[in-house]
Amino acid sequence: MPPIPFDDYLRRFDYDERLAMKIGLEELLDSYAKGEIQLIDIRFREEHAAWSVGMGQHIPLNELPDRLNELDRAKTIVTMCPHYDRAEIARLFLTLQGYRSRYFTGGMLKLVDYLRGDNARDYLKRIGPLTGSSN
Amino acid sequence: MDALDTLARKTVPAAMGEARIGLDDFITAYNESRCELLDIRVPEETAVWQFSFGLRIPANELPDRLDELPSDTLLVVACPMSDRSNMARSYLAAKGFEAKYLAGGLLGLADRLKGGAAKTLKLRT
Repeated sequence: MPPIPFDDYLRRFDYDERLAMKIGLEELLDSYAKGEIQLIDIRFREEHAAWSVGMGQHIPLNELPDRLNELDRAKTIVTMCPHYDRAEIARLFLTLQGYRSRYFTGGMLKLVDYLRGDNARDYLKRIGPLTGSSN
Repeated sequence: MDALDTLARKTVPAAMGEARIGLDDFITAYNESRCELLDIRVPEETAVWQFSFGLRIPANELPDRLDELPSDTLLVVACPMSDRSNMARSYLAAKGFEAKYLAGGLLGLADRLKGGAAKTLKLRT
């Protein structure tokens, strides 16, 4: 998709887009397992150095403009941060650049809260081994 | 009095500071190299999300892997919340280790280390 001028994006922003720009926990886990999305952790480098999830890829938000070549246009790009505020900035940027993008509304804190105990085991069974989030 | 008796006798409000450590105190102690983090979650949990520092030994493997633990520093035992870490901490304390469980848990620590606050942690490699 070609880039979208911000003015045009706002003019066409409607109830459908308001829903389409978001993805919740259940759909995220399902779409990731099916290989339909590219999951991007957009936190700062120090945050990623402290802890990370084994899924997806790390591209800091402030490096995103220079690293668009790492994104897979065939997939929906799902952005995530601890909550969702920065993820939404990343999602908006990518959308305006012409990517199909959604932000994860639960945030990484909700994701790791879900992925403990038996849920971690069951999800790993579904998606196979993980080697840790890459840079 | 054996180690378990001692644990039981110390289970009073005034002595709980010996059993647990808060998130900020942990970060300070870690930065000053006064403790080591011990993540006792099961391997499936550490595969899906992990801290980049500390030791990882599942709680149920502790009895066979005590020799991997440092005995000259405080062990801060952690799980997502604080139930399993509390049990593991009791076990390690009964075995003679200096150990506390991380109050607030790994979920609390992940929350604490978001945004600019991540810079407060001085990672050692």
